[in-house]
This record gives sequence, structure tokens and C-alpha cells, in this order.
Amino acid sequence: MTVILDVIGIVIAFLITVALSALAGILKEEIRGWIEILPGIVLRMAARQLDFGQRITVYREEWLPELLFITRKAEGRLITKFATGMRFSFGLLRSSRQVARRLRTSFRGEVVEVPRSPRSRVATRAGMAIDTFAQTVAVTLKGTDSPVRVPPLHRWLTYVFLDRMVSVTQRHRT
Amino acid sequence: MAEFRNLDLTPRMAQVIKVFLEDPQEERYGFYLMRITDLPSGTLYPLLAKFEAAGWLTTGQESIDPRAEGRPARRFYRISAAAVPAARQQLAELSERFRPPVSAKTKLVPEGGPR
Repeated sequence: MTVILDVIGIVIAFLITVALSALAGILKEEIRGWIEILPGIVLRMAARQLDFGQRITVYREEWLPELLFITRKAEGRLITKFATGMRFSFGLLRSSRQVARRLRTSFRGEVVEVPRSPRSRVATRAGMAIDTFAQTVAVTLKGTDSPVRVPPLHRWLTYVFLDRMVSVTQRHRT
Repeated sequence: MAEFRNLDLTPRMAQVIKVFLEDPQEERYGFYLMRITDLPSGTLYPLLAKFEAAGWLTTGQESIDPRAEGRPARRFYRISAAAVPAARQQLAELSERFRPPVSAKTKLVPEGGPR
């Protein structure tokens, strides 16, 4: 009897260890994802103050790669990287209008066709939101390479959302 | 590339351009410049934009394989050939302007007058 209890105890301990290590892995990935997501959100707010064309030449080709370098490749632990990333993004949030104004006179600012009417501004914002959502969906469904890592919780919520969308659509059809 | 025009360097601008003069061929990245100059991104990037708009700096894309590195290529800055002599001259002028005066009047005198 005691032998059986011992075996059950060992099995339970083993299962708890496995579950905890899996949970720790998920939490670590979640935190790693968020250290990119939060500075990324602030950086995207900074990008909204740039001219339309500069959002590609300045935000996508310069600021975002630099932020991802800080959060993925720079030295230091997760918290340090997160703090550095936040400092980087908040600094640019403060000065992005100035950068936009200065680059308008160089070739990097000339690309542009600036949408001025409220309707086209709404369209631009909608485009950026759809782009972010599409990236999340792509990572959720296929694990496609995306410049930004999507943490598991984020992916799970997107999955739940998509799942509900599919079931609502199917119900609507029948 | 923007056409070169002269700029009046402020001490902060001098701090940035000095890094480029150490090796004019070297590619410099934003984060590296932030660490070397100790300037925050909100100060550094407007300065880089100013230098770029005035033709002092040129930019390019880092040559890496984004898949292998696990991140997109960054943008680097390099000082333009036309800017090197102008930058050296301005740095020399600036250093001259801020050099402390050395004269008999500025020498420290012991308390109670010279003995």
C-alpha cells in the first residue's frame, strides 16, 4: 500500500514539476513578448505624428528596427531591455514632430503625398490598425515571421476572437 | 542625398559629430550613438535629422539576413565627405570659443593677499 502511495506521490510531483516548468516557459515568453509590445505601442504613437511617407522611411525602416535591436539583441536582462525600450520610445514620442519637420527638407521627407482631409486621416489610422491586427492574425494562425513578437496571451485572445467570428459567421449562414 | 550646407554647431551637435569624425568610414547606429554620447533618443534623433537634412550625414541599411538575425535591418549613419573638413573646422572653433582663459589675472591668489 505504501509503495503504491509512494509511486502516486512521485507521479504527482513529476506532473507538478512539468506543469510548473511549462507555465514558467509560457510566462517567460509572455513577458518577452510584452517587453516589445509596450514600447512598440508608444513608438507607434510617436509614428502617428510623422508625415504619411515618413512612417515607412523613419518608423518602419529606422525606429522600429532599432527598438527591436534594443529588446532582442542589446546586452542586459529583460527588465533592463524593457526600460531601455520604453525610454527610447518615450523620447521619440516627445520629439517626433521635430524629426518630421526637419526631414521634410531632405529626400527622406519628400516621398510623400500627405492625406489632409479628415476622411483620409481616418483611412490612414484604420489602415495602421488593420495592419497591426493582420500581423497578429498571421502570427496566430501560421506562426509567420513578423517583425514584432506576439506574446502567447495576445495570440490566444486573437485565436478566441477569430474562433468566435467563424462560429458567428457559420451560424449566420445556416 | 541632401545638398551640403553649412551648420553652426551647438555643443550637443558637436558631441554627436565628434563621434563620426573618429572614423569617418564607420557606420553608426542610433542606439550606439545614444550610449556613446549619453543623449536620449528625443534629443539625438532630431539632431541626426538636422544633420541629414543639411547633407552632413548619409544613411544606409545594415547588411544582415533578417531571418538569421531574428530582427529587421537597422539604418546606419555615416558622415559625408563634404562634411568632414567643415566639422573639423567647426569643432576647432568651438573648442577655441570654450577654452578657459589663461592669464595672470585668473591665477588663484592665496587668502589674505600674496606673500
